[in-house]
Amino acid sequence: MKIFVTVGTTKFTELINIVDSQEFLQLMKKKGVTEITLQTGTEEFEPKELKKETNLTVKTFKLVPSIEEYIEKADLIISHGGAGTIFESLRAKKPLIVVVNDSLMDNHQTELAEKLAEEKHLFYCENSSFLPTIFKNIEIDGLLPLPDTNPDKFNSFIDNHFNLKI
Amino acid sequence: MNLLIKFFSIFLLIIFIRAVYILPIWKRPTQMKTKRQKYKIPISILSVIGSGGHTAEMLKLLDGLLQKDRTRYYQVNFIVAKTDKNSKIKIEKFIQNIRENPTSLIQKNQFKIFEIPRSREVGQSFISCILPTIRAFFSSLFVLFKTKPKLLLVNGPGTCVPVSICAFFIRVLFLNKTDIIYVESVARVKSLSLSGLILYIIADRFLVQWTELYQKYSKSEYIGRLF
Repeated sequence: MKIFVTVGTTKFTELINIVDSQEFLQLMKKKGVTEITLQTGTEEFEPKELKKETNLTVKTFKLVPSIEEYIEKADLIISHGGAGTIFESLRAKKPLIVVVNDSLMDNHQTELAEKLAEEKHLFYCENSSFLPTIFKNIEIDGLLPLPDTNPDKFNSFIDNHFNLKI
Repeated sequence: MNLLIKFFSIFLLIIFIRAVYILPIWKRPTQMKTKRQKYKIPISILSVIGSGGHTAEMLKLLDGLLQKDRTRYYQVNFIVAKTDKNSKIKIEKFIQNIRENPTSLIQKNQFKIFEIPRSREVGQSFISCILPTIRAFFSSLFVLFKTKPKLLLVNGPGTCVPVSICAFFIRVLFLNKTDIIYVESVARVKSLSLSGLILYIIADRFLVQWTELYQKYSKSEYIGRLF
């Protein structure tokens, strides 16, 4: 199993520190994780605990223009609440754990993650400290795929507004 | 001189009454449907493109409109904040994709990108954003007069506020009629964004993407998730 951790364009030290902990490392070993990639945002990061495990490939980088290829390669994504990352992951049909970034003020994005978790499209983690528990008990089969949107609905809405017949 | 002031005040009063009268907030969404039976096509669209997530959502909506029937909406102009180079690259890529589509009936020159100064950079203080805001209003007026759009399609980036207010006042003064359609971002489930709150007053149609918002705001309309 390959994991991709992404924090977006700001920083999310708590999440990175939890992932780089002995507890999380043991869980990853149990689940058979072979590779973990961390996108750390504005923050420089040097893995400590993760480096101790020789059977685990660890890759880190700060920012890239598009995280599409990393999502494509991963079997599980652990992410901040950004709408872009959420939809990119769900469209790629990848299991996703959203961890709320408490340090961001007025974080309306928790609304979206909460809602999508309610509809069973992703796992929602209110605080980074709960991440190990959620990861331990994760049941990927319980997730429902996000239904595709139909552009016709919006098209007919606009046509209708201007009284255009199809 | 006194007479002049009197006339001027009466003029202002009339404009004010007209503005209040046409404010869409008094009307139900179904009343906001355009009354004209036959609209001259193509309907020209002006779309305001902003930061990150909003850009992706807007381009998806436009892609749908242009895929379906290209002769209906083929004239699309974009407004983008001058400092937002990323969005400009995305629009250019979007236009190129549409042009390269073999089923496309469109000819050249139906897409134009206009850049306007951003009214407020993130973290800028209130005082220092007065001048840029005035500049943003003037550029908005310029673009609106130049493109004369039938439809102003906006979805929330800060730049869309001055453009929409200008479009509304152009309509108040009978200079052109642009219908404003606002689509709230998919990221908004329970609360409107600041742009959303302003546009709620002046937009002709107001779409939200979650039932929570739909139940909260009586003027809003819901046709499912769009992104």
